[in-house]
This record gives sequence, structure tokens and C-alpha cells, in this order.
Amino acid sequence: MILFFTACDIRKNKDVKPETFLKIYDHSDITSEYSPYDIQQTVDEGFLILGGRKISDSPFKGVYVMKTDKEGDFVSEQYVSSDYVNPVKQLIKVGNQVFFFCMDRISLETKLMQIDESGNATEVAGLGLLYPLYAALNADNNSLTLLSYNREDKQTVVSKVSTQGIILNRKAFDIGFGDFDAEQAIIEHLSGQGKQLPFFCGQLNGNIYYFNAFYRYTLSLVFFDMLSTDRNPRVGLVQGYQDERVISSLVYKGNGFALSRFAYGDNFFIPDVTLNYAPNTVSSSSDIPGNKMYELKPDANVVLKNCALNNGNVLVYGSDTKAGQIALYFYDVNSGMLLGNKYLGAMNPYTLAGYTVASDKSLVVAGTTWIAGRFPRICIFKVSKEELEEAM
Amino acid sequence: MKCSLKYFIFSVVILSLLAGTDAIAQGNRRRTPTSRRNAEFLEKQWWIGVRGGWSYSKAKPGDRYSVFSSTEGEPGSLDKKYNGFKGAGAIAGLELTFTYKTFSLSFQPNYRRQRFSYSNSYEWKDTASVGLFNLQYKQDHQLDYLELPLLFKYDILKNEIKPYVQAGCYYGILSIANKKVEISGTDQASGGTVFKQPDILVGAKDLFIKSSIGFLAGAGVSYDVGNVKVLLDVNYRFGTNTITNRKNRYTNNALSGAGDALDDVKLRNISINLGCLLPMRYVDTNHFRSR
Repeated sequence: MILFFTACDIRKNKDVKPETFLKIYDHSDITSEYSPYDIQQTVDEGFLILGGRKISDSPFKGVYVMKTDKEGDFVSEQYVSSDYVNPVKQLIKVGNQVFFFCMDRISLETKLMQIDESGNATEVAGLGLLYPLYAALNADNNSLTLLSYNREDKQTVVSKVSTQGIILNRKAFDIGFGDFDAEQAIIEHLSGQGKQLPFFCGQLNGNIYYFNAFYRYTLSLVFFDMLSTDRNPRVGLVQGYQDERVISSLVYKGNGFALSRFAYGDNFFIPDVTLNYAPNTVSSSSDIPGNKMYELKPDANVVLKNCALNNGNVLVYGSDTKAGQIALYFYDVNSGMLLGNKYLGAMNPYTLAGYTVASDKSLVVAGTTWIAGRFPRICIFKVSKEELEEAM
Repeated sequence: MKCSLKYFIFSVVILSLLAGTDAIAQGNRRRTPTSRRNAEFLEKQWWIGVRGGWSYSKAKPGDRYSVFSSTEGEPGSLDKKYNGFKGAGAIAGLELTFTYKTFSLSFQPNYRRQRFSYSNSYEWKDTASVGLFNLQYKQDHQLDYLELPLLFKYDILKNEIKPYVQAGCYYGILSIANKKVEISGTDQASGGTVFKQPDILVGAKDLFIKSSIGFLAGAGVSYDVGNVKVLLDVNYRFGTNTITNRKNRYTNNALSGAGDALDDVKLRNISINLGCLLPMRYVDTNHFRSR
């Protein structure tokens, strides 16, 4: 009997293929600083990480791309030419292709870039727009929505862009002037010298798009018709207040929204809410009730996605805790009930950059950690399907 | 430790050779028919007793793993440096032995503590490649096993001091596992300060599988004091399976910042044991003497 159980235990251990890992990518140069932004899985089941790096030529971050294998081991890295700066923090996967936006260092023109399977980034096209802020994949899985800032006209610009870099539609909205300098806040966000603001955009359905950016000198959630011919399109507005009370993330579920917001340092998760986004409607983000998340950092960065996990769809909120860990919260997509949570990181501080669902239904999370509490380095957690099921 | 062990083994061998000079004289003693029958009967004997001692272990790594992944193409720089047979652990157990003539079958269940350790060293330099900050991690593992070994013994000589050899196999069940991390370093960027952080102690049972199997071999001597057999032996254990729980390698969150992930490890062990056995038949000294 003992021999039987022995054989089971040992044989099982020999045959097991570990599905969880943590990797920290280290460099011995004490001055190296890497900031990860997003992660995507490649066809060979490895991972691409988009990040920023300090460069001497510009106040904006340079572009850094890393490739790992499926076990998370380092394969290659690319210090993209310092002619390209300010990578927008989203890696967008269109079929088997991976894209991101960045900026020309001199002209500040938005560039569409593509990364191939081996981790090499090349320019696809210049778009003639300035200061890219956020990008998202549209429902047709073949075009992108880009949020940018037109400094000359002081406008928030939302564009529908093809994967060849052709602008298909565009709408612009005045950022407005009042008792708050919205432009200063945008520049400080882009240079990394000030508060990181939760800019985002996307396609709701059909011609209805949305953005979270400065509108009437306040960071607000705005819904509009991309095909409207009005010079000043009518909008549905969920108003924030300056950069103090804002919506920090949003997912459209089809029959409602899941979102998060912060207000003067407090963070709230709202996994199920109905928003009135019809043209000319105005509401306030501070009127949306939600679950107050006491453990998160003040005005925390939140990454919210509707993920295909656990044999269904789950809302995943990722954020940073005051204790220096990455926290993942899982909510039922229909009822909004909390299913569970998971904390990543120990000994040193960790902060979240982005995550993706891998082909084996695990969750792969990219973040920053400070080795010995000093040196910022990119890290990846792979949380296996089994661990996710236990967490939920 | 290695020098004292070699000296001990050498002493056992010399004592065995000296004891052998008595063997020929013993063999020439005449026996009566009655005493011959008694001797044949008494060649079978059950022994029961206790044994204890010290254990020194070493980890033999197979595939290497680390949380850190070097972006400079130097994966070897992250390999752990394992310490040899250092760090003593205690052993306590029983012995049940059946002896027939010079051969014995011995079952020696025991509770043993096995310790192994390894270290890592990391350095960060400025652009002039002058070391500015270095960090050393020393990781000490303590594994408690309930072990069930089965051995064959052979008495080389039947003298007052009986040298013997033994070999067999064992199965161990993991009972407790702990891990201690000592962190120290030098921060030249802050003026050359040497620092030591508080040790971190964590439970580590989920990092190892329950079972440990292997072979063992050893040698020793026994001496009969009246009916009691006192023995002293040295055994070498050769673990055949990887004891690292490969599924849980990265799940010990508490040590992730140290870059630690266990390699695929097998155990090697040297133990020095002292035992005391009683015969289970004819414990009355009038009827039986063990020699």
C-alpha cells in the first residue's frame, strides 16, 4: 500500500508541467529603470511586454520591447530607437498581429507601430495626430480607436484608425478652460512628472464611441456618435471634477457597465451599473454608488477587463494596494457579486501594469517590482487556471 | 566535518581488523552435541531496541530554476551555490532485527531532521562597472521525515566487537518543512554600509512532495554488554527521487522578492547512529548470552 502511494506521489511530481511562474527580469546596471506597460501572448505561447525606459534625449520615456518564452524566461529585448518616445500603454492584438502607438521625439506625431513574433518593433505609419494617450481594439477586431490631444487647438481627439494607419473617422472636443489647467495635467501625465490620469476610449456599439479625457476642463466620461455631422457633436456626459473625481476604468457588458472611480483618494468598484449615455444627458460620476476599496492606493491605477475565465466570463479588476501588492478582484459579470480575490507579490513592492488571458486560460500579469526595495524591474506573474478557480 | 568523519570510518576499519585476530581462536572451541543443538537454535534471534544519532545532508540539484531572469544573457550567474554536508539534524528511532547466523533483516523506523542550504549572490554596478550594491541570500531548509528503512545486515566477524555491513532501501514521509532566509549585503552607494536584514522564516511544506525514497548502505560495529547489543554505525543515503514539488515551485509568495525558486533537488545524507538492542528470546542471562 505504501509503495503504491509512493509511486503515485513521485510519478505525479515527475509528470507535472508547472503552470505557474513568477519572473523578475534583472539587469546589473544600477541605473537601469524599466516601466512595463502591457503584455500580450504570441503565437508560440511566449509573451511580449511593452515598456518604457529612461532616455537622455527626451523628457518622455523611450520604447522598450521584451520577448519571453512560454516559461517566462527572457529571450530578447529591443531598445527601440530614441526617435520614438511615449509608448501608449496598450499592446493591441489584432489576429496574430500586435500593435501599439507612440510618438515621434521631435515632431510629437503619433506613430502606429507593429511588433513581430520575435519582438522587433517597426513603424507602420505616422498619423498626423499629436500626443497619443490611449488606444483600444474595436468590436470588428480589425480597427483601433485612438485617443489623443491636439495641443494647438486644445482639443481631445478620438479617431478610428485602420491597422494600416489610415484614419477612418475622427471627432474632436474642446478641453475647455476654467479653474483647472487641463493642458498642464496632460503634459505632466505624458512626461511622467505628475499624476497618472486614467485616460481611456473605446467603441460602445455601432457608431457610439466613448472617451474618458478632458472635456470642459474636467476629466469626464463622454459618449458620442462618431458619424455625427454636427460641428459640435451632442454628447452623453458623466461628469467628473478636475482630476480629483474621475472614472478610472470602464467595461461595457452589453446590458450595462462595469466601472471604477476615484474621488479625493478613495477608490470605488462598481461591477454593475446602468449609465444614461443618450445625447444631451448629463450625470455626475460621484453619484454612482459602489464598493469602497480601502486597501487600494489613493487614486489607484485600475485595469478592468471582461475576461473569459473559469468556463465563463468574469470581470477582473486589477490594482495596487497600499501594502505594495498587486490585487486582482473577480466579479460575476451578470450579478456583480464578488467571486474572490488574489494578491501577488511579497518582500518587495509590486505595482500592476497590465494583464492578459493566455491560451491555457491562465492569467498573465505584468508589473513593476523594486529589487532590494531599490531597483525597478519588470516582472511577470502567471496565475494558472487552477489557482484562479481556487481564488473564485 | 568531513575530516572527522573520515577519521571515524578509518578507526572502525582498524578496529575490525584487530577484532579479526581473535576469530581463529574462537572457531577452534569444541562443542558437545547438546550445546551444538542449542547453538543452532540460538542462531536465530529477534532483536528490538532504540537508536539515535546525527544526520548531515546535501542537496543534489538537477534542473535549475530561479525567479530572476537575466536580460544580459548570463543565466549561469543565477545558479545557486549548494553547501555540502553541513548543518546537523537529529535522528531518533527504533530497530527491529531478525538475525539468522551472520545475516540479519532489520527494520529501523525513525524520525529524522535533514537540513540542506544554498546561497545566491547578486551585484549591481554603475556604468564604470564598479560594484555599488551587492546582496547575499542564504537559504537554509529543514525537513523532518518519518522514515521506514529496511536493511540487510551481514556480520563480517563473530567476535567480541562485531563489524558488520548493511544495505537496503528506505521510504520517507515528509512531516514538517521550514525555510529560513538570511539576507545581507553591502551598499557602497550609501557609503559602504554593510547591512543585515532580519531573517525570514517560513513554512515550506508545500514546496516539497510527501515522499522520499532511496537506497542506503553503511558499516558499523556492535559490542555485546551482557544481553544487550550496543552498536555504532555510519550510513550513506542516496535519494532517488526529486523531492521538490514541481507544481508549487513558484507559489511561495513570501520569498519571491529574494528571487528564490527551488531547483529539482534529490537528497544525499550521511548519518552516524548509536543503538542499543535487546534480544526478544532468552532475556534471562542464565539461558542465553548473546555471544
